[in-house]
Amino acid sequence: MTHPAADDEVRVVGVFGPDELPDDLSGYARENAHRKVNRLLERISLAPFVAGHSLYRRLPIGDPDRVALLTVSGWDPDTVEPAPADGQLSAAELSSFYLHPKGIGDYLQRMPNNPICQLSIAAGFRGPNVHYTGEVESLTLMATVAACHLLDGSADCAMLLAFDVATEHRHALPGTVDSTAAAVLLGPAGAGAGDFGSVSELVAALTALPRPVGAVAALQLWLAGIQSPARAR
Amino acid sequence: MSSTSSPNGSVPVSDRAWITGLGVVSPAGWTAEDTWHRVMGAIPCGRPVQRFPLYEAPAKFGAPVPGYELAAPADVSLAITFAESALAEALGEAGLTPYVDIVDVALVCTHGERQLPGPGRGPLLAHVQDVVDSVRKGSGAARASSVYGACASGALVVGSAVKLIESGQADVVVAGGADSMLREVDFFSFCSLYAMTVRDCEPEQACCPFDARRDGFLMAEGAAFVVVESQRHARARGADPLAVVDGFGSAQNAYHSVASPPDALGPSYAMSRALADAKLNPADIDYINAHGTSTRDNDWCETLAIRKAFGPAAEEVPISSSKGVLGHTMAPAGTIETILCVKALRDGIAPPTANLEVRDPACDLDYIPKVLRELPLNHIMTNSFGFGGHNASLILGKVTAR
Repeated sequence: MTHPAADDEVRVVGVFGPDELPDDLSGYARENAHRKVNRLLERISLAPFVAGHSLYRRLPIGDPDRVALLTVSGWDPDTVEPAPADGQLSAAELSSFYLHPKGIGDYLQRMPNNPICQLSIAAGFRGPNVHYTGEVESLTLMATVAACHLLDGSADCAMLLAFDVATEHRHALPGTVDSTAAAVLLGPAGAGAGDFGSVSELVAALTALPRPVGAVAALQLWLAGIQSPARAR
Repeated sequence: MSSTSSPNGSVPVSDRAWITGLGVVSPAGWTAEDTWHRVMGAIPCGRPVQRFPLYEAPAKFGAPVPGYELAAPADVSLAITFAESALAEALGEAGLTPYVDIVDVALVCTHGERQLPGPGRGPLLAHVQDVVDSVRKGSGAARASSVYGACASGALVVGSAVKLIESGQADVVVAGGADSMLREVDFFSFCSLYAMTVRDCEPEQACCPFDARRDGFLMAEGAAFVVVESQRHARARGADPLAVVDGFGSAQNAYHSVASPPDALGPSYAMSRALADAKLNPADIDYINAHGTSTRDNDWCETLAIRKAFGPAAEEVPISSSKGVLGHTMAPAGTIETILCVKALRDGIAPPTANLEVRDPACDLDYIPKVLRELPLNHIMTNSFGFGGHNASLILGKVTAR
């Protein structure tokens, strides 16, 4: 299962920064995904959905069946509980609250892999896929794993999709706050798209960032670095 | 990153990934050997849920870890308790001492832990990050993250560890997970998803993978960790390999949040990619440890996926599910099953599927019923699938020469 890795074989071929997100995220989602997807796209999942969908629409590299999709976020949600107005509920009433949720999607929307699931359905991505909970350290590990999926031949390209909520909202429930998102697309050298450096350079740049820094902020810092005049390619 | 890893975060090194340590806490006991022996014996762990009142819940059975059958502590995370035990067993078997020996990365899968809210406390007993932090502390790992793919997490976490080893980004990774969802909030929530067994039978018989009577999974709990190590690093310190990870594949269904895909494309892609990664043919696989949850849809879908990925070889390969014994431990299930495959390679035993008595025409492959099979085993595949459309397959191999 070993592979002859080459430092420059995997390149960052596309980027989508948080400043590119449209104002009307739900409008974009309604236009680009059917109802089955939209009914599960709560506020936190919207930004990563739009970022990932937009980037691949801009750079449709390879076969969607072989697009790897890896997400990372510091979001680590709480669990819904009865409103304070419900007063001190008995154990039986609390149990009934969880046994009979208002919406069948409540539990699914709380799963941090919801953006992977909904974006994959909308775009037809069937490549390797996984979600990491954490900050830049997790993003760095994820970038390495994603590059391996290209090198071992299991994917044509790999999307790294970061989404975050404000630190004070890290444990927020899915429908209560908005998130922001950034995405990068890894592809083989010469894929015909852009070139923002090798994945090794990306990993090195992320490793050098001061901690703590969230995954989206880390990608923004990296982007600012490579887009500075001195680094312009 | 260890001192032997590549400089500047580059990705130039390749190395084989050995498993050098493993640890399990499961409904079958507090060690990997406890779990293996119960699975081999096809002795189911299902029992009536007695930890909390069930009220009007349609599901009545679960599989708790021994010692916690009647009650779960209100102020302690069982997931963390289980994780600490399984991690210590794995590190001990690998001969690694935390903070003395270098552990480069800890990869942890978990759903966190919840209980009914009470006076002065909310439902959260442990966030995901709390479990990750406990494993980082217990292992002394330089870096840590949570890897998540719902019920495929336990295989994805091992596969991710293997990729870090292959890339040269790490020499030693502890990978695994822990969950205790046999508490009110998650138990009732899964009832609302109609995912768990509500069979009217003895609790030991409720979970019956690939059987025509199956109707849902049995909620269980536990933890499992493996030490994944580069061959070069393990050799240098004289560590014995328990198995080699020959291949890893993952794929998305791109179909639905919870429903199995009618075309079985996602799980078949995961198996095909694992075979390609291992450079093996389907006929090289001597046994498949199935995801085999005992839900109506998973088991026929997995059958179809094996046929698609294996072609004619699907008719020959022995297959079983350990969930008839252990139930579904959720996030760590894939790591537990990876460890069972390591034991199977060691002993030359394909474990049976507990409670498989009534054949389902939709599940018509060589599913091993009730009694183990002694076989020459060199390569084993283990499958894990999860809500959200995740599929992961690992291929474990016997280390024949050092």
